[in-house]
Amino acid sequence: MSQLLAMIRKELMLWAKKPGQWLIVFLVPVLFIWIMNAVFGGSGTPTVTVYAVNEDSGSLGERVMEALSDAQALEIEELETGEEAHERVGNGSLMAAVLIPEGFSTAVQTDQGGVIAIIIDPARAEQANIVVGLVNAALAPILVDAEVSRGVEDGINRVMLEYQGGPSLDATPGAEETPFPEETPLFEETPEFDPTPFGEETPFPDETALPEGTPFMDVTPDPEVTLLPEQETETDRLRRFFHAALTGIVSAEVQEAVENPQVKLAVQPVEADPNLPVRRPSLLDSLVPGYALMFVFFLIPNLALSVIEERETGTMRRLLIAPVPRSRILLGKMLPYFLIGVAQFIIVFVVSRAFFGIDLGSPLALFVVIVASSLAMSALGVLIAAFAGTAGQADGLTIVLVLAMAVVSGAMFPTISVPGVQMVTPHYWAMQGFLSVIARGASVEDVLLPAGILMTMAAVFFTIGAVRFRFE
Amino acid sequence: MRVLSILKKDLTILLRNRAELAVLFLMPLAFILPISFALGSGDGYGINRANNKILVPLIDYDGGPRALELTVSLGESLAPEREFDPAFLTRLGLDDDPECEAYVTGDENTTEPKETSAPEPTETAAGATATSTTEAGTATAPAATETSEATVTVPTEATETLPAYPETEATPTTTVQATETLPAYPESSAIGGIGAGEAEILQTEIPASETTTPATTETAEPAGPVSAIPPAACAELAARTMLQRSMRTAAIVIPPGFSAAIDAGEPVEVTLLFDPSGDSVRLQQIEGVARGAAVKLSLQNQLSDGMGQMADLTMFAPENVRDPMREVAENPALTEEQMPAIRLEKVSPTEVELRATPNTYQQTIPGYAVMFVFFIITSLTASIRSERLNGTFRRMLSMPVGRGELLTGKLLASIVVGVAQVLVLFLVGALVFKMGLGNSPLAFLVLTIALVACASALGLAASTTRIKGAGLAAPLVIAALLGGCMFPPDLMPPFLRALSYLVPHRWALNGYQNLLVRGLGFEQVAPQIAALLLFTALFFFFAVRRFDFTSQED
Repeated sequence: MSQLLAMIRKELMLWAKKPGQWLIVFLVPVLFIWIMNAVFGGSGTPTVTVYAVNEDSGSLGERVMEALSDAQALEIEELETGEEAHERVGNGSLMAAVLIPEGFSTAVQTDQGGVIAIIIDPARAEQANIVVGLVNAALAPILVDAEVSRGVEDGINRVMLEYQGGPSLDATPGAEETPFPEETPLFEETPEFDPTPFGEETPFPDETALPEGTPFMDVTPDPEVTLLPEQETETDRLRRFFHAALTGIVSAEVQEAVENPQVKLAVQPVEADPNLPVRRPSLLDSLVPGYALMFVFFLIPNLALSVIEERETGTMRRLLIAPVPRSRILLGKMLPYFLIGVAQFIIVFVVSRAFFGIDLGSPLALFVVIVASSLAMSALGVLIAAFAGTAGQADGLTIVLVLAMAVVSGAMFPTISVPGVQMVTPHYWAMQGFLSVIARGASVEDVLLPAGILMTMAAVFFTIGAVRFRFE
Repeated sequence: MRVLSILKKDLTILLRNRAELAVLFLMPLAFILPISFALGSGDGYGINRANNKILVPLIDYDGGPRALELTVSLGESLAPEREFDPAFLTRLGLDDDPECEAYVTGDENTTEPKETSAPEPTETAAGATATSTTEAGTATAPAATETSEATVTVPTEATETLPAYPETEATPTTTVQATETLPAYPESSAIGGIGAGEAEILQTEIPASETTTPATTETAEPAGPVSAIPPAACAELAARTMLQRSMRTAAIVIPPGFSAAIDAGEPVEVTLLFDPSGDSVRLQQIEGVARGAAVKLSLQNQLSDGMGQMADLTMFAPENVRDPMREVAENPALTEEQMPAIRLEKVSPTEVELRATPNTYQQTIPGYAVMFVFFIITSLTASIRSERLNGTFRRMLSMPVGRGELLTGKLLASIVVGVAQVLVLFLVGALVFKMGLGNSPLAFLVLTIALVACASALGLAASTTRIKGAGLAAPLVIAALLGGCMFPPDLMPPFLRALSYLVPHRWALNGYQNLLVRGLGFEQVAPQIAALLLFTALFFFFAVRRFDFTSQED
């Protein structure tokens, strides 16, 4: 036992002398989490930078631009011309641009509707799709508003047609002389509209915009009607009247439906514990353990190298003379890396918890998974040292192997994995354990299965490694 | 000349060591094969599947027309899953459950589809009937059956592996593009559901990529004619079990009395159950769609109330307009031919001409390839550390060779081997996974050489430090992250985006995207090549200055 301790101490002392090594093992993972947190934040929704061009001369184009700049998930870089946007997206500077074409404000009033073009870099079309969704969300109030305005105008035209008995008067449904959306945007009083209107309670900050219950009473006795110049025709007055009335009613209903929908959505986790607050999964839940795992497995080449170099430089032979069983020599190589792995995990999780507010669940259960994962990692290192002939092989092959395992198991990115094969990797079981603890609040008993599988893997790796290892 | 003889010496040594050589060329395979299989057969981005939608179990305690409307509008962006066949429930271990027992044992009487009679639409004070919602309900009914047919095949495949921890991705769940989910809200715009065309417009724009691994993605077998909808309580149990085992991200529960409550104008709540360890992005998509559908349904009903008010309003109107006005109020939705007032359309940049839409591999592989090239190559040059340790360098320096020459020879040897490795990687990608290699082989080769040179020089520079083994790997992950290999730099905050230009990965990735995906030529990648060579020069300069040839210490 004391021999083992001596070997572990020696290995750790060698480590302690290399500050660069320590920086890489403990600082880099933290740096990584910091970047991920800066990009994805707690919500898991990144802020995307896009170009925006407004070629429209009407006021709706400006409102669209304002809505885009106000959107939290979008960062706007404004350009002058559409050509510039095409060119920049074409050469990949950014992956998307929003283009409001000329005559947009007018086109919105027609049956064909207005089109906002989203220029997408075809080289990254899949990634860029997120932009379309974000723009849609940012423009949601304007889209509804435009739809209501056009519908109201449409209805008025129909009323006027029937009233006049024919399409003689004011039968131009275009918007030349009735640019009412400019005058009375329905949501004018709520410019701070939350771009994520599905967010819980208060999408419309200003409740007084349209008092509930009596929308048309406020609008009907339109004082403006009496103030109008004498020459205004009866048609114009009626148009105004209808417009005000319809707009009031429709917008009140729309607002009501968005603000306080009759059909509500209750979002709750499947194992609802009424005593606990609802915890939403976040992308960081899987990224933090996934990459912590990947970084810890990067210790394997170091372990393999240190064993192989000892053999190559001949110190191993000296160790063999000492009255120590051979498997214990390997154990003495493996355990220091096991300890470093545990420390690396702990530092990553503590930093995530303390600085980025990531909720980690039961520390004890987490610790069980950490110990099991580190054991599997260090035993795999012994196995690789046994099979790699030279230091070069141990180095190059191992990095690729470690990366391939991270990809296959889904630890690198949750939606990318190879089904079936992933169950062979220690990463997969470690991720099962970590996710149970972090996301589902699992206790120690709940993680015994993945931890047990990891330890079995560790035992198998170590046994094969010890049997196969050539000490001289 | 002396540089060349060093190069020759290194290559000869390498060629003699067959094992080492095999390892070198297995490395690119160890990368390209898993990543390709992961993208192709696993969930990936899910675009290889015919039914490009997320599966969401739907438990309907109501069975009325409003529940159907909700299902249909969910079906525009999701794949609501209502049918679970008995064999599947057995494999979930629910056959003994009292709720499911009768269904599983084949007692078909318990599974009668509830054909509730549609309650009368709400009557408003002035007697004007709101008709819009009823119309919408009947119009969309055929679509509903389509949706349920599409999803019925699922359980059979999903159950292949059901130990306590089933593989999460074994289920044919697919990712819906963000575009398809979010329009649900704007679509719900007021007057009679006009915006329905919008989702279709966006959907048709989504690249219909060729299925590269058809065998794994074909899951569509014709749905059995017999409806296999278990009793709602049993379906809920099944859904909860699937969520607990991470087989689905979320499930939607429609409560009993849903239709009646809506028609009576009472508030009602739909529950979205989710797997807390599930994919957060996917959950956001599902939640967005579900909220959009709920608002849409609310709007349809609340708006018909509004139209009733409109009819009341005719009392204030002048005598002669009352009739036309009432007419409008009663038929507010005569707008089928209209396009949405505002719609978003995806377009490609004008001057980019693509022969075919790039598939998932072409879009994803360059990022991962650049990342892995750095891992592979740096490990190659980092191994000269062992040469320093065993004293070979000291012997060589005793000959009339300059330090720069010695390292240049090493660099060249590494470049030759590295370029061969990278070519193997891309060739396998091209041959096995039909990844395009662009239109300009020359530009491709030059860019590859520049990238390998840069990575080799970085490896040399790293070998002058005390960082050993895979110590370099961890910083390389950060560099890959910053360089946009994992997600586009567009998502980064401005200062990180500025930093990304200081990482060679960013330039290499841009270059490969220009060549492989955009199909551009040599001129368009010249800046990237220049940048990579500049990095090479910097790293090499650092290596020559710092390299300690004589030390045998670690």
